[in-house]
Amino acid sequence: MIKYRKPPLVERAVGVYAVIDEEKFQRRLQGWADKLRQEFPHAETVTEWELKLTEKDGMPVMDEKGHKMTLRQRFWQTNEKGVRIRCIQLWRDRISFNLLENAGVQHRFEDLDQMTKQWLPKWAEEFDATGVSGVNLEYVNILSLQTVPLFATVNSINLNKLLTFYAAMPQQVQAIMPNLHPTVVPPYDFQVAIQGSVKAGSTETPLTFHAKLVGERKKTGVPIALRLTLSASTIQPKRLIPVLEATKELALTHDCAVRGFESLFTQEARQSFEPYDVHSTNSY
Amino acid sequence: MTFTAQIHTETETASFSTSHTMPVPSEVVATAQPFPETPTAIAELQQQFFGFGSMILRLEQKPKIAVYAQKQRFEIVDWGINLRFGDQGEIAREMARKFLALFGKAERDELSDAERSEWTRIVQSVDYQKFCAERSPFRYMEGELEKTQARVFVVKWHDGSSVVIDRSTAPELRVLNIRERFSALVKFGEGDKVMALQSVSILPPIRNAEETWKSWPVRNS
Repeated sequence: MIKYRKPPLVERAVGVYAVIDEEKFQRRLQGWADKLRQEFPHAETVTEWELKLTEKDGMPVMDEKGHKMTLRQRFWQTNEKGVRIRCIQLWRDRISFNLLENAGVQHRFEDLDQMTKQWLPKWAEEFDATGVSGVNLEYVNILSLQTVPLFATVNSINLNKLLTFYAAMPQQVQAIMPNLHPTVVPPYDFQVAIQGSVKAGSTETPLTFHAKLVGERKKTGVPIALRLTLSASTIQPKRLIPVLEATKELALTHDCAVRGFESLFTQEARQSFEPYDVHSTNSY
Repeated sequence: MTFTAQIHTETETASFSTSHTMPVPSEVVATAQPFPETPTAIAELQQQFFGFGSMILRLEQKPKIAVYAQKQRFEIVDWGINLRFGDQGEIAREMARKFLALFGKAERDELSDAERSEWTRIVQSVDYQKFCAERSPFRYMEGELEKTQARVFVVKWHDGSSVVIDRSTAPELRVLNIRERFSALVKFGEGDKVMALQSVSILPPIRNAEETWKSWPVRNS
């Protein structure tokens, strides 16, 4: 398999879901935090809101009641400069492992794999999670002047040359409107999901690939940027597999995400990401 | 079905927070307008158990959080706990503190009228029986390890009753062989469930009646 030295990848994350008794979770949360403290010393509680809005006289109004809030625990590891580079996030029903850029040094799949293999079994043991419903891998790519300099300026990104989805579009549009010289204009958003299964021997693993392109919020003085999230998941409702099996499925989802990456970026773009032989040490 | 929105990658979380944070009022707005008496919104916290150390409070219903956006504060409804935005991680600790403070005053019969009505509301909202059972002190017990299974121990107490104990609750029992007698300090919870077990000592087997009779001290005269 071909790997890339400079992909526009900014974050890798893997999430694993399990059914955990709430009382057990709250009882053991502090013990888990103590175990993580040495490697992930910065703990924080993050609030997730589910807000309820209604329309009043044609305007959106926030309801007084009906909102939900959930607390999520985050445990961070920082580099020498205090920049956050690794994170374990915890909900009652799931855990995620996140890798962020470390001072320009690209993280590798192997790093995420090792982190998952190290902490997932410990989490399962701590909270008595006898099985999980699969793994969900996400790769966040930011397309901007900084990450794809050959295809972008401060105010534009040459999507026709960067993404296969847009590569064929001008010709198609011209076929419909032959007298025009079309340009792609916002929104650039698209998403696609493909579902299937992978059979290996007697085992059949469900696999869903999902790609989503959205515009990043424009801030003053910041170049235009798009976020392309690629995810591959073996999670299905009511599916229950041993934790050890889940760590093996991570490689399967990685393979799927890389294939998705290769199909979405043009040959010219992939060339700019500096592909190299699989036996080298770095990877996409 | 995909679960892509639920992992929360850091980059995604950053934008999520931005779009849902309550508006921060400017100084002028804050001084020109009186603080609102009614909350901006009331949210239900998706949690019923609040643990702090070995103590856990089980609420009968999920607690309500009243948000006062202009004050930059939120309140745990019926608990009289008022916290700043950003202190959500302190909710469990503050609830435990409030509960224990009122519990202590109630035991000493020192509650004021206002505190008494607050305490009544709080006691009605938590599983008080469970709290009291878990708060009970350790008891000296003797028993015998009947068998071990993958995740549990089966113990027969000296009164003949048998219990199943999670391995994680009583890791010290691993030192025992099957059919071995032991003594330990045990903390019981609701329904006589073993919540903690410590200070295990191995005891000699109980001799049968004949051996006991033979070993009974006799007069040598």
